[in-house]
Amino acid sequence: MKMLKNSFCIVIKCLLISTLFIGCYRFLNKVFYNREVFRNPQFHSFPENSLDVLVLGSSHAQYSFQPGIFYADTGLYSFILGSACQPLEVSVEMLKEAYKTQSPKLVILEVFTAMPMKDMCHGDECYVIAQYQMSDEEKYNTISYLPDDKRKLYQNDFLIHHNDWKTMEDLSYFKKENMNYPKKDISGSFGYVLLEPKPIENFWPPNQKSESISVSLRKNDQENLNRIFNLCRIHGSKLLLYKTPIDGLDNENYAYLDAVWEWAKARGVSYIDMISDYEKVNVRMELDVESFHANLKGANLITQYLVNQIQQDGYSFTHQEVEVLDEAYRKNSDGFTRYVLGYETDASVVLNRLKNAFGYCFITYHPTKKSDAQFLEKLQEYLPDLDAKKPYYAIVKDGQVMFSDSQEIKTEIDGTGVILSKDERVIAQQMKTCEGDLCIVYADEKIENLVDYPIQLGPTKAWRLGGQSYRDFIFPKAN
Amino acid sequence: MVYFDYYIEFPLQLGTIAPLSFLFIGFVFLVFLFSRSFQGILRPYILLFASSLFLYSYAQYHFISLILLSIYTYIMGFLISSKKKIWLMIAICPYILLFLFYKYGNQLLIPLGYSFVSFKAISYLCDVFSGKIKNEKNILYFVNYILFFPTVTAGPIHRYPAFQKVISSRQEFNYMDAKNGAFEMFLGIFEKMVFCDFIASIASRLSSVEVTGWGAILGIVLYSFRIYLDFDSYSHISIGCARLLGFQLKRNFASPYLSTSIAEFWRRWHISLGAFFRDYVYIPLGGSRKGTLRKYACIMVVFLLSGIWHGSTVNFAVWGLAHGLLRIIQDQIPLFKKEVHPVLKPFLIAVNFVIVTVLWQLFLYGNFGDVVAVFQRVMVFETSISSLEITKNEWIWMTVILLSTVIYDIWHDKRDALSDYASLWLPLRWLGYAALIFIFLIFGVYGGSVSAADFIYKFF
Repeated sequence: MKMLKNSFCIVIKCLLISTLFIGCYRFLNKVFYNREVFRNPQFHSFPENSLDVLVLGSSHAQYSFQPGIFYADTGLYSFILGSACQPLEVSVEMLKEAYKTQSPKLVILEVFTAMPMKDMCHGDECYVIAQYQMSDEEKYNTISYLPDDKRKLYQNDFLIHHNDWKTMEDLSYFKKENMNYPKKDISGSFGYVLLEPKPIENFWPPNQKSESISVSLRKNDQENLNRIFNLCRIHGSKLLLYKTPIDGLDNENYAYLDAVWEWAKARGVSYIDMISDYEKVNVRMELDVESFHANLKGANLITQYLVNQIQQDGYSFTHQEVEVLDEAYRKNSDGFTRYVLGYETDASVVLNRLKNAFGYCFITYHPTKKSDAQFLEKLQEYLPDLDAKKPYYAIVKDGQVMFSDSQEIKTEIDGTGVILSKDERVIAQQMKTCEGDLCIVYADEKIENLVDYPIQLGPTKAWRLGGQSYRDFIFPKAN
Repeated sequence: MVYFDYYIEFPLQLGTIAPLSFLFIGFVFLVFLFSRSFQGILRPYILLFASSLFLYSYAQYHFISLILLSIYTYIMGFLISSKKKIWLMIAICPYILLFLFYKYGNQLLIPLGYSFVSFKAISYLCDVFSGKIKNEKNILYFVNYILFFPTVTAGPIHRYPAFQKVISSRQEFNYMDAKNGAFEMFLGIFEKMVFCDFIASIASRLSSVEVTGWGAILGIVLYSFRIYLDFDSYSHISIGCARLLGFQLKRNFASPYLSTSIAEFWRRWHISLGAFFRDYVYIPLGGSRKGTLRKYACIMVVFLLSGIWHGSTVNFAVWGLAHGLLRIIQDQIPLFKKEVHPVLKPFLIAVNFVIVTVLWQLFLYGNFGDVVAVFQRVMVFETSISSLEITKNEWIWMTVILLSTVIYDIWHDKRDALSDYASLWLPLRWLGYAALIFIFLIFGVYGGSVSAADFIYKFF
């Protein structure tokens, strides 16, 4: 009897302790979690079945495909579910994750990680980063590629984040609003990662293959491509493969890329090889692609090229307009365009807008000793009343100078106030500081969507190192 | 941790049953269940199987070598009972030679728990020789003693008579004992994973060559606490686990940093090791019975052996000799020969702590030059406390740990802290359990980079 009682006590107490332990653990698991990785709230705030195009791939995709530009050119909604060095098996899980709530008509897969070159970036982190964008079975499958000890950690965020107490500033960490996952928010980058151009000093084209080698796709890669292909087929999506222009490929990597294209051809899958089509894409490696990753100018060009190819191939989309998405994409597109123009190194592109742009251009010019004489000479072709030695303020509409002055301009255009002077630049109540010798603000016909373009006219700035393009502008080629 | 470069592949693949793993807790629970359910004939077999499985989980064929050693010792027990010294020497020699070989030869080959197995075997052989006990005829009981898994890796060194009494008889299940044993085991795990490992992480940051002045001093003090918490926690796990299985082991640490002298320190630190050297080295060599000179020589031999046992480099020998020398010096001072006045006690405790802490540095560094460099860094005050990259919350938690350790030691020095806790009002007790679980989950040091098997003393 006593033995029975003792046994009963032991069992009950063991159960109680276990319950206490598990209960505490589950509670703390909800409190301590990774608050920096947002598990893609933007993607999950898309209305169901509203996405037209899904892009998958590594950072090559994230840097090269710009959803805002894609929308501006096609009116279609796109999203990039990518991550650094994303292996093909992870792209499979990302696709499955996407199909839970969306039915994109086109799936674009960037294929860098089918090449041996991907080994330089491949590691456990590829899976760690990606799994945060997924849930349930897909997350579990992605984590399963990790070694045992890491897998256990990521299956339980708490194992990593229970140490957050060390860096907590105060108890706001435990506030109710901070305990939930970040709120869904439709605004954002749609998976695009912006890379600002760096000052480039050298000029080089990507090396082409010197020798053709024939290889078969690696078994793992073939299986995963097949899985992606099958998933697309089951869900009625078209599949398109592409490879961005990158530098440093050797013959072996070219061979594997060719093997991917062979795989695509055998299944009737379209592909775009931007390394072979480098000249058609019109990117300049030294300005638009920093070895592996397209900067924002490269993204602009690559996306436009993709758009052209897609339109040429005659893809059809049944697009459903969603007001909130239209607004988000428009905002994204406008902001990105501004960025691109701000880094434009081709002076002709900048100045041609003076002549060709619809809408307004607001010009502020302050002479400096370092101003490039040749450039100023060219500028005067567009602005004949500009005196290179004096300040110059002008409003250009549809290519024609409306107002100009060497002191200041203070006026109203269709009820919108404009002030251009040495100390002030106020356009439609937006204060714009001029950080260049020549500042041009482009606006549309309603004097909205302002894009600011400051130009330094000295000889050492990046835009002047456009090399060929700049020289072409100053010294045009004979036809 | 790999002990061998090659091993025979066994069909059963097992994760290491490391004391800080869920596997260990489950394993102990199962052993408890089976050994308590099957008292009598089956119990020794169950315990032996459990011990073998435990050792197998660390290094597959290693446990066979320990079984062979146990069988060898068992056989020698019969020969030693003839009271011929030659047999005792033959019996003990292999242990000493093997120890020297492993320590100073190929350290990678040293079997897990070899040191503590040797101690137990030698203590048994000496006790049989001196007639304190009769040689054991039941090989099962004896091998169980040698391989007893709660104590095989890092002690405490328990003696055969008490073990034999338990394993050879039917034991009535004592619920309170089992409960307290389980609690002590969990407390040991808590102490290791919450207190010790956190202190260790801070101490290792402060041992960097760039840290000087107060930061270096703090690092030295923290190492002292680290080594104590590490060993004490393991002892709690061993003793608690043994208690759960019905075996009463003596305390191995009795608040050692509350000692007022080196002599007292060694009566409180690693008590079972001290007892071993006292009973099997100090007393047989003459001890205090053959005059003062002989006594001091015995003390130096004991401490030298203790140092050598801890490590194979000169540092450890120096550490041992330093302790021996201080022991002898303090023996000359009247202050240490009588009851210490309460007013003087805190001061002596502080002084003793400083001495012991300084000497622990010989443990931490592989060569003497590095030890000297540590104290050189202490003299230079170039690094400010604020530049130590310890967050505010870590400072607070570190203070809580150090204070808790001191308070617990003071409490446990006077009373049996575990019994006191067990007698608390039930809801309060369970609140305490919940609090411990919470603290463990939040403040425990665990995760991908932490190994469940990293106790310092397993390396000895």
